[in-house]
Amino acid sequence: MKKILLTLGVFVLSTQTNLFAMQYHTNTHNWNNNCESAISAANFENEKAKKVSFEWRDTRKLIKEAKKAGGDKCVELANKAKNQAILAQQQARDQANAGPRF
Amino acid sequence: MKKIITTIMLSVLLGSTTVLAAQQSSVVQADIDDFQGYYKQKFPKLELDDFSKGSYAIDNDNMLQFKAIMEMPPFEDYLDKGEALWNTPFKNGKTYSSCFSGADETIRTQFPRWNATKGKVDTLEQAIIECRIQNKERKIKTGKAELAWISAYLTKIAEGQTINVIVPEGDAKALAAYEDGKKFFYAKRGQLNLSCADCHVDNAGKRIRGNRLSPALGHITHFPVWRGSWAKKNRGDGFGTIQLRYGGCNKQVRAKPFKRHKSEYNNLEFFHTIMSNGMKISGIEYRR
Repeated sequence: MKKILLTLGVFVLSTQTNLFAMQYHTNTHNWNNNCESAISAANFENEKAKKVSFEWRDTRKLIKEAKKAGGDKCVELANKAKNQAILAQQQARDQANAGPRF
Repeated sequence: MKKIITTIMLSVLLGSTTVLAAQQSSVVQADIDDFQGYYKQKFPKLELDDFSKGSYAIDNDNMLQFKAIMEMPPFEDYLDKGEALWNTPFKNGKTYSSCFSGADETIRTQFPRWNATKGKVDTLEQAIIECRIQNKERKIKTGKAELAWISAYLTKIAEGQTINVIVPEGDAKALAAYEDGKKFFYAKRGQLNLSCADCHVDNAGKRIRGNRLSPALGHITHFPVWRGSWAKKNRGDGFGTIQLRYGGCNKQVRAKPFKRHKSEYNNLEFFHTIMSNGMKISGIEYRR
């Protein structure tokens, strides 16, 4: 009886450990995926801002920092960079007819 | 009879030269009149050439400090170095002068200028760099050091010469380059959403922290400039070109600066200089 219980216990424990390991692996994998996709989205938008000659000073720095940081921080910084790039593009559109105001 | 013929020939020759000399675009001339008129109205006590002193012309205390510093200028060694470099022959025996036309004193006011053959604006510093390349000399830094010293020497000897940059009437490409520079000047950029004009036109003369904003009119008369803030460890010897300053201004408004001697800053320099047409080169000066 003891042996059966012990075998069952070991079995349950090992199954749980496997499940946990799989879950952990999936999470880590998502983290990396999210970071990479956030960075590529930021780069994509920043290239558009650069093309119209309105790139902001710190956008590339934010992307670099995002790459270094990894994890949640990476996504946060990359999104910040992406927002900057989108605003820079909007600025370019707003300033299309810039001229003297006197 | 001979005298009459000579006189007639001379007057015909002079007349044709006048016709051949490029006329300023009427669109550009109207812009110059508006631009300079704005400052004259804003600062009625100042004469046109007073604007070459920048914010010091507006602030008496700063003007006193400026005059005190200019009694023993901290940049003379570099001007001597610039002169020596200008006069030192290249390895092939030629000198910088061989790349330029006219007397050395007139070179500074020949730039920036529209190069119709290449379809772009030429600047003095770019011409110096190209001169070195043509004569197979090593590359030098842009914006400061040797390039700024040589350019500063040319500015010093051009003191008193009048700025007269032309956008030839009817040259659509030249006008497009001018308009490009004008748009750059007035367009807000960077995270702070500020244009050159926001500070140096609309708010010229007002305080920004401990400094007073200088009017854009006359900026160009004293560049390359020696700035106290550029004469610090790891920042350089104090001398810098106008395009170095453009980059600095862009960084200050948190915009990504452009490469020097490319179309963005060349066209901006073209417009910026044209707005000071009629002013005299004031030589090399100290700025904070």
